[in-house]
Amino acid sequence: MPVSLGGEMHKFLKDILGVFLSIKTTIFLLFTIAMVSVIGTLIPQQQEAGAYIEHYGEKLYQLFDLFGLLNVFGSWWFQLLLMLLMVNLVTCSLKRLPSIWGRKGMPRKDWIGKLGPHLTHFSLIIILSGSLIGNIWGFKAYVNIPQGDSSSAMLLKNSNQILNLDFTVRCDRFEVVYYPGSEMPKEYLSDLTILENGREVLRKKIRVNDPLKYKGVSFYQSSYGFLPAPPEERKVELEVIPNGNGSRGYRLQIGEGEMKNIPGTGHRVQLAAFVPDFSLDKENRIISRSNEPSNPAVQVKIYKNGKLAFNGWSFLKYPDFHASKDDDYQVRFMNYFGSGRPYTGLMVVKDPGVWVVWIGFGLLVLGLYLSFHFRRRSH
Amino acid sequence: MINHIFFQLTAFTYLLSSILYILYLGIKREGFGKAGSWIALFGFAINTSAMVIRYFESHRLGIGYVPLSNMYESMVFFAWSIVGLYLLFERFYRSRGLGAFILPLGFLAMGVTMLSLSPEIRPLMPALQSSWLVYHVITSFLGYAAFAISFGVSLIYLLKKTNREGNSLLPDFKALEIINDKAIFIGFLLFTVGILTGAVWANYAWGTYWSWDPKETWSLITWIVYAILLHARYTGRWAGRKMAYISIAGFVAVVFTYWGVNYLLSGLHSYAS
Repeated sequence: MPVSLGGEMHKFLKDILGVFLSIKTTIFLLFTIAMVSVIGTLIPQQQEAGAYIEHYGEKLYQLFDLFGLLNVFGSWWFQLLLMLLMVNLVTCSLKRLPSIWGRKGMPRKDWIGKLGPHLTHFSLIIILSGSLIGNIWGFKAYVNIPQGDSSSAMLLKNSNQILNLDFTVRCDRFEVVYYPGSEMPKEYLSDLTILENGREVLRKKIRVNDPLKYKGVSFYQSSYGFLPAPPEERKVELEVIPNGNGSRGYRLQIGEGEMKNIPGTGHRVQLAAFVPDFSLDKENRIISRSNEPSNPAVQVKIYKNGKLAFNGWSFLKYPDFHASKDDDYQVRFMNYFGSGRPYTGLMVVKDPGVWVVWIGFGLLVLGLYLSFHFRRRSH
Repeated sequence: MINHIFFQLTAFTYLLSSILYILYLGIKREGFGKAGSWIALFGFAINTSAMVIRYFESHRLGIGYVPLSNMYESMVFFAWSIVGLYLLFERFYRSRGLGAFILPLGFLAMGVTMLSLSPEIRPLMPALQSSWLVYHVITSFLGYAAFAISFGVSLIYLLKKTNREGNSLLPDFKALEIINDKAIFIGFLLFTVGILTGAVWANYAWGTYWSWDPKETWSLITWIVYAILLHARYTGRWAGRKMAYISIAGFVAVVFTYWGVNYLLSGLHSYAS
């Protein structure tokens, strides 16, 4: 410390240093961080304002908001607490290090044991530096890519702004693999291709726990969904068989809501409704459980000479199911076209600090091991 | 399923061993202590084989995984870790009196599991299919078990009468402090590795190594409680009853991290219930 400083100033700096050097400060900071973290888990973080008001009421919500309790871990004062802890670590280490360096005669075992805690503290600083690097030079974003499409525009997580990558990602195929004989998903798979200037440079089948990495940007399988085709693109293939007196059936292709005349029969066939995932709700009303074609069903009406002669549902997966044997017609749902396509939901992450964090992790474990293993037996 | 029957048998054995250890402490007959140890070791062997059987049974069902991925499996591993670690401590420090406090913890973990958790082997959701999960669970729960031992030792420390040395079959205060230190060191090191392997796994699965979800945050809170304990002990030179109180507070944090978060709070780990 420079001697030229005025006496008062010197004392002031020494006092401040004394505060940071105190073990009481360390324990106070650790305790405060722990308590604040408890609050951060008891109050759900970063929810919609409406959800808070509903749960806690208007007044309490405003109070929480005022004290920053709705985003504790992103608040400036939480970061400040972490910073103060780091300053405390650094000053304590700087004070104690010379006592290790200075003593030449110390047995090697003791020397390593004394180095352990410093290495541990140093590793924590490394880990926080790594996360800082990630925050400054990295990003987290999302993108949904329908099967067959490509995209280079990612939606940033924190700002909701669009980020354009200098390459393109194409989803060639998305697939959910189920455990045999169950509805439990085993794997979510996306075949991804990276394109640069229209040229394919990398292909990979990604799954949860196995991302694709290109130019420092990683793509994680994070969600999926289904994009229904517009109704006008949907075509259904039906087979209509009039019952009795040996009349022959006929096949036709028909769109949603469309009405078709069948020449020479006096029939008009109407596709009244299409449901991709047929199910019944509690009141026995017909609903579609999802947009995916898991159980496609159609409602068909047949008019004979202008009068409604048939009105019933047919199922692609259950071709022999008929509502009633007394009907004048059997309608089979044979096939359909333009059902839509799945999309893959990717988490897109660039984190140049992650290696620093991993190194910090390694040093942390090493530091603790040295601290405990070579600790001088003081008992 | 055979594994469940073996686990039930384990629970029964741990109960028997606990009773023998308590009788040993109360009646002070060496025979009870020896029987307690041997029955505990026998229970530990059944516990081990039950986990191996469960592994093979999961493969026979065509699912095939290391059985460490739901509440039931983590609890039986927790009990296994407590008893296994305790037996090592007993051998190392040549004191059977501790068993009367620690074996009941192993029995409690096993008993609660048998009574309240579903033994069904269910397929793993995609996020859980990672070898990091195995490292994460093994290190975390061995750490928890070491903290459980520290908790038991701290209880003994607080219950022992201060002026007289109390029950002669329990280690003296000095020895209790040494055992407690050791348990906390082992626990802190393993628990740290558990947090870090969890972070690495999260980074592979979700692209972020730390997201402040309640489980992560509570593991950090627990870590901080033990970090405070270590600093108070080795820099602040605290000792004795104060340490015992912090260790008990630490174990309360462990219990909340393990069960409280799953059943009272919500987050990424919600599948673990």
